[in-house]
Amino acid sequence: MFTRSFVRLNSTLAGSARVSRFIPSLEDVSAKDLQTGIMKKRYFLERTSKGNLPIYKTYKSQAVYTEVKRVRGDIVQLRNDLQALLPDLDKKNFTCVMQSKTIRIKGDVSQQLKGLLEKEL
Amino acid sequence: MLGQLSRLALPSRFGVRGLAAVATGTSGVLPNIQEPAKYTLATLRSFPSLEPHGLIPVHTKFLGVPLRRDILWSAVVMELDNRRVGASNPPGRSEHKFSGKKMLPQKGSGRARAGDANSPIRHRGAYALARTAPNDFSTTLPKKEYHLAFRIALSSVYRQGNLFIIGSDKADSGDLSKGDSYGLEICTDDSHAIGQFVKHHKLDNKLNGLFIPNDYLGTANLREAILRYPSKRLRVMDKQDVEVRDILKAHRVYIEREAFEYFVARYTKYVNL
Repeated sequence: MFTRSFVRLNSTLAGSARVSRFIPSLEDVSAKDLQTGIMKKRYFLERTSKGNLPIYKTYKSQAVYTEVKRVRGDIVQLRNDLQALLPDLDKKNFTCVMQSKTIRIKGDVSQQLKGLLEKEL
Repeated sequence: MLGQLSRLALPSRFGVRGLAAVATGTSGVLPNIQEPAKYTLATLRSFPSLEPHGLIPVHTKFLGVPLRRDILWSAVVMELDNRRVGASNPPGRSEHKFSGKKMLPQKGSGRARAGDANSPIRHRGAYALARTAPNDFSTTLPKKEYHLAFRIALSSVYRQGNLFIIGSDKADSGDLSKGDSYGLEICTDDSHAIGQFVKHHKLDNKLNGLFIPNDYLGTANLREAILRYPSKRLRVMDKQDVEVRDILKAHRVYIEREAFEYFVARYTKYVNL
């Protein structure tokens, strides 16, 4: 999605150059870019600055968890859809951490999830 | 007809979902994906009437960042840590006022053994962890995280409709109301002007207002008028001194366009578009 050279270029831009990218002139913005915010029951996962999916394997008190981070929109709906996507897992293994907008799944399904979502996002 | 089409197009285990134009998922694995808008339209206003005079598109990675209270929390904690002067000098047991003489014999008194009266476990004893000023309590946060906290705070104010960007649009005809301008400076240093502003915009002396001019020294009238106005709810701040906590404490933020652009330049260094 993002190539490494693009990332480098962007992070080393001077402040004034960044301003014009964050506040372009009104003519340069199409109506498509101005749709309203994420609607009810919808969600989005943002990729990381290196272009990877925000899905991580972590350990909490020696137990393996998979964390889905950077969730925008309806986190509960995403949890439900992930539960449908992983029917082998018990539903109580899924937790929504509302404050940090993270979905925590007991067990390591990071590679499985990444494989499923790689083309989706 | 449409229902039949979509039933053909989507895997059966997800059921019929209609032709959702907003869903961007390609393979139908996550059916409810919606890409967020790229830009939001912020209004440019004149001051002090706050009449709208133009629009600027601002990237949602600056003004549309979702609320993350954990990140705001860590940013505010860091700011408060760094505010601490660390001027206390609590004495340790070697510096404390009592003598070092043993209070009672080691054995034979029938009481618990005791050393000198400076022991920190005794009433009026010394502090266990003595310090000498200046004590440095400052903490650090990754820059990326602090910048994100700043964007979250501004986005939160903006989402609530409490961010007022004062400035002019290029396309604007310049048809201003009487006494209005495209900057935060006012024509008088009379505090009555601030009283009228507070009354007109229903700040009610209960809401905190934060004014951020681009040129702090150039807004002498505004600063003087607010200084004379008998309320501590209103503040004028230099753009360089504004912290996350100041934005979170303010119920209304009035910022000049150039100062807003200064924030954009300062707090987007690690954002990839």
